[in-house]
Amino acid sequence: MTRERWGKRSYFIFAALGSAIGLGNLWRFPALTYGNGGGAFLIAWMVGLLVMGIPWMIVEYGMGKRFQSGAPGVFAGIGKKWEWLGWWPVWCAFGIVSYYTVVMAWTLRFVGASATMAWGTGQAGVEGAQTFFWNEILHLSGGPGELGSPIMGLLISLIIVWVIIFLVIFRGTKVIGPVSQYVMIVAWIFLVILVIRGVTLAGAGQGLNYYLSTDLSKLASGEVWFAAFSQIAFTLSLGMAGMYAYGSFVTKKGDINNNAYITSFGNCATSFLAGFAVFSIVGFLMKTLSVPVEGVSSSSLGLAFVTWPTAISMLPGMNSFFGVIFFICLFFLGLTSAYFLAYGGVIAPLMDKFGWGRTKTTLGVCIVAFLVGIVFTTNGGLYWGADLLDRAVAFYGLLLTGAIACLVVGWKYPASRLREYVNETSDFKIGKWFDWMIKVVVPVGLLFVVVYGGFMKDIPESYSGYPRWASSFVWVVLIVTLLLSFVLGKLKTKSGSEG
Amino acid sequence: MTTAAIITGVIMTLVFIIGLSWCFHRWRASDSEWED
Repeated sequence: MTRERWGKRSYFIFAALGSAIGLGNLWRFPALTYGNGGGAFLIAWMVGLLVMGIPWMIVEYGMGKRFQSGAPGVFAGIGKKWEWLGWWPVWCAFGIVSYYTVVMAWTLRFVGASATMAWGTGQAGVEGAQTFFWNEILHLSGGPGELGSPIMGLLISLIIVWVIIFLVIFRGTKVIGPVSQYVMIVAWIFLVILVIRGVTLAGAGQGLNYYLSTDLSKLASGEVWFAAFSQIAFTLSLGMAGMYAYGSFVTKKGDINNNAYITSFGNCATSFLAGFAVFSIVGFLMKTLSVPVEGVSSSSLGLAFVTWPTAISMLPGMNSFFGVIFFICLFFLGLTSAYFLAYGGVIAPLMDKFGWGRTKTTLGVCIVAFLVGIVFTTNGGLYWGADLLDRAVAFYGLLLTGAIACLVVGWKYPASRLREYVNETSDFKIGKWFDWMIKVVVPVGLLFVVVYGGFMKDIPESYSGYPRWASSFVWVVLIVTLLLSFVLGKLKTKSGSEG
Repeated sequence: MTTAAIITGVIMTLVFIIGLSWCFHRWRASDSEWED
């Protein structure tokens, strides 16, 4: 069977950019920059991008292209005994997309609510934004033990989200490519509008001082390097299986190295730009509400769903317009990442392994992921989805599979062979430095993040202060998905995924 | 804004402009190479 292709180079770049640029670029990066010494963090972040992010991206694009297969086929190609390593990130991608789409459903609810400024304007909006998100949208319960029932508004929004995703992906790259191109261009235009609105508000300069003030002495702190490397690990959508599949749709003559540089730089440039929108709004709120920066700056979901609505309600005019623009921008950034996870992360590997048809596989995966997602639309859904499951698959799963994958590619395939392969058709060649990045630096960087930011925190104390029975869910998910990956890796099929 | 913040902002903006310009300068493949 002929493998599907992107058709145009720009389609691949926009699709890859869309997958990398997600909700985290808008809320996580700016707050990390502020909290870790501004310019000092930016230096560590750029080092992380060059020594870890770009080499890792070349691995996923390059191996996908070399084996013309999704993640499981790539590792089966290295050796049948490694196929499980390709399935583990597939499970992670499935887990992520099942709750990520619920976060998109919140966003969709906010698009509608912004049109009427449902949480109020002026001082009423400041007070209303908190209760609107937690009580009106989420109907949040007191803890993970109180699951409750699905919230109808979220459930309907979730159905709409999955219908949109299905319509984009059921015809494969033919539609994914052009849709990614248009959606990303519109999202960037909206982001620029938000930056212009932000930096022209009273108090914006003060907020930007917090964002960009430089304390180089912080470079001596391990915390800054941890924050920078963790941000690089999460921002490029690597370790989620999908980039292998996206790379596999590149023709044998297509470039790898330059595309990896363009998507990595493009993703980070978008984060940097988003920081201007976020921190000018932070400065505006500090001035209008007379609160310190700690009162309005956050690296959590609250920044997008509470701080922004608060700021929008305080704008001097066109509140609804800027509200709708912001949440559509957020929705578009989420959409391109969600269909990347569904199609590149789950559907393409299943089609490769079992030889199933695209439409049927797409329909099946969308329905199953939607059914799982219903749990996360309940009163306690936030705890189980965007918090606990996120910790399991988007933190531990991503970092562990990424580190082991780089070790296997680096030492077993090995890295020098991959380098020679990608250099054959790329716009420019990468040097021998790449081999050591893949063999040592990337795995060490990822393991540093998982040990320092994960095991050392979650083993002595329960994650996020949850009761142990709830936080154990993280370890259960990791073990179950690992076992299922071994099972899938052992399965022999007619179409097989051995390269 | 403070001078330090402006300098950081300008340097980072230049890093991205120069980095991306270099990538596009090296761009040589035509779209015909992207179809079988």
